[in-house]
Amino acid sequence: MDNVVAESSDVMINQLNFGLPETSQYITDRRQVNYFPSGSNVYASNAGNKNIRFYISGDANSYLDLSSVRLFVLLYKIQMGHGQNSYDH
Amino acid sequence: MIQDIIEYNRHCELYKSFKSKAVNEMDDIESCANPSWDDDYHKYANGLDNFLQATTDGATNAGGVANVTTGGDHNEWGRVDFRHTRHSLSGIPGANGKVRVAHTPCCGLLQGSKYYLPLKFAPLELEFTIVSDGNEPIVVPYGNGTTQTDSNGYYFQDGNTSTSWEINNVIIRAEVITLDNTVDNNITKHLLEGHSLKLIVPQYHTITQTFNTGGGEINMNIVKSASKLTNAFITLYRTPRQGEIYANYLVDNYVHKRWNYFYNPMINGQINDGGDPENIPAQAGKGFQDYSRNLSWQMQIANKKYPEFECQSLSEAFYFLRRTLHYMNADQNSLNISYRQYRENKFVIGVSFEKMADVNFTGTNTKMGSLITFKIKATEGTLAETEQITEIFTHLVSESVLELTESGAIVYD
Repeated sequence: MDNVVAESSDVMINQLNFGLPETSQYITDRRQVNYFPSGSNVYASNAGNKNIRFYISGDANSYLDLSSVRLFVLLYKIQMGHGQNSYDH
Repeated sequence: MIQDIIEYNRHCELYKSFKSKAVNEMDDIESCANPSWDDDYHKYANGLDNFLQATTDGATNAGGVANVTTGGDHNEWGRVDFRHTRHSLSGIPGANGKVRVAHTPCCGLLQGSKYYLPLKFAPLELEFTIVSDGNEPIVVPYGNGTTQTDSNGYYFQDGNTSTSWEINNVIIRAEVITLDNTVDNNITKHLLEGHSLKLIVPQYHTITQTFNTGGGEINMNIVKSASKLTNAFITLYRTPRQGEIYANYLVDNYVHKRWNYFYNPMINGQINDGGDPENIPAQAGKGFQDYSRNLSWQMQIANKKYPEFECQSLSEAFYFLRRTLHYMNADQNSLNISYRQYRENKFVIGVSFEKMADVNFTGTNTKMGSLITFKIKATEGTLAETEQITEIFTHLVSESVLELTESGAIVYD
């Protein structure tokens, strides 16, 4: 058994590694940005344009974090008829 | 065009199911702070409100008393469906109310990407198309409010549920980083000298086909040319069930839509016995795995079959799904699919074409004109015509390389 184990190599455990971690000092800034759709800002299934199109561009030295992209909308309920109460859906 | 995803709502629902339950809860908060329609994994014995009957019989004061019916065992798994009420699917309260909602685009370039895109050389265009049927993403009311009320499962009635909606104030939020000029100049110089940046991007292709085989075997021919086809997810569909069960309006009527109903014939069989199982076949309990409604399936690319011997049961199907997703260690990963959901409305077949999991470019080449076929049938006999599969969605995934150059982008698939 000991002969077999002796063939393994030792590694330095993290708890004994007192070196400074690697860094990425060349990243100088991070900004939260937003983009608006081209064309209308109101969309519905029963009227008007149904395609929401965004052009996401930037200046030189702008790198988009692709995993950060989120679409936000304000969803409105349009009151139809009467009888709806505070539990409307 | 980098990606074009059709049936996008069903595609999103599929990949939502592949995240863990905990992540789904966080996503739900981020999306609109409401529980999702499928958030039922810890609520098998819910539906207690179905047993409570407000009555004035024997009342000694004006407030009346509440009787509890003993017609069912409250801890009986599956006997009573979890029912969304106006509290769990709270919608948008109040007249002309509004709510801010978010959506994480579910495409290979964006979701879970590890890349930062140089916007100067690769500006991005995103286009979303709204559903043409406004009733598709929402609960459509049903129930007259007099004989069809909350106590019969008609929680969303004309008087308390509206169906007209619109969206506005649409924006995309994202984050952009800036690099030190030296590094940025090096990347720019690299591109201007004719070199390129290469991104590995999963591509999604959804192929659908309708069938009317009367419950017999279905053979689906799939045409997809890809150098590295990695896996396929197959979901089934038929029109959701209608009507009532045990004098309660079926949950299906409100929540099952074409985009979220991953049909499994077992939904037609009850898990536990109803009140009169000897005389009413529909009330005979079939257990979680209704063996009479198991499905057999197999996929074939050229002369190679996946799996070699056809999958014949619910449990084997889940085994292959987990193999495809590489989620064999339950402590580390999980799916957002409960026992009950997998047998009823979240049935996903997974097929892996990779030679090695978690290693790039080990998929199967179908560029040489290989015909892909998918066969599925009931394991025992044929399905009843009223339970037959009428549509199959095949969600294929392949690996591609997106090459960015100074003059444009090229996709190699």
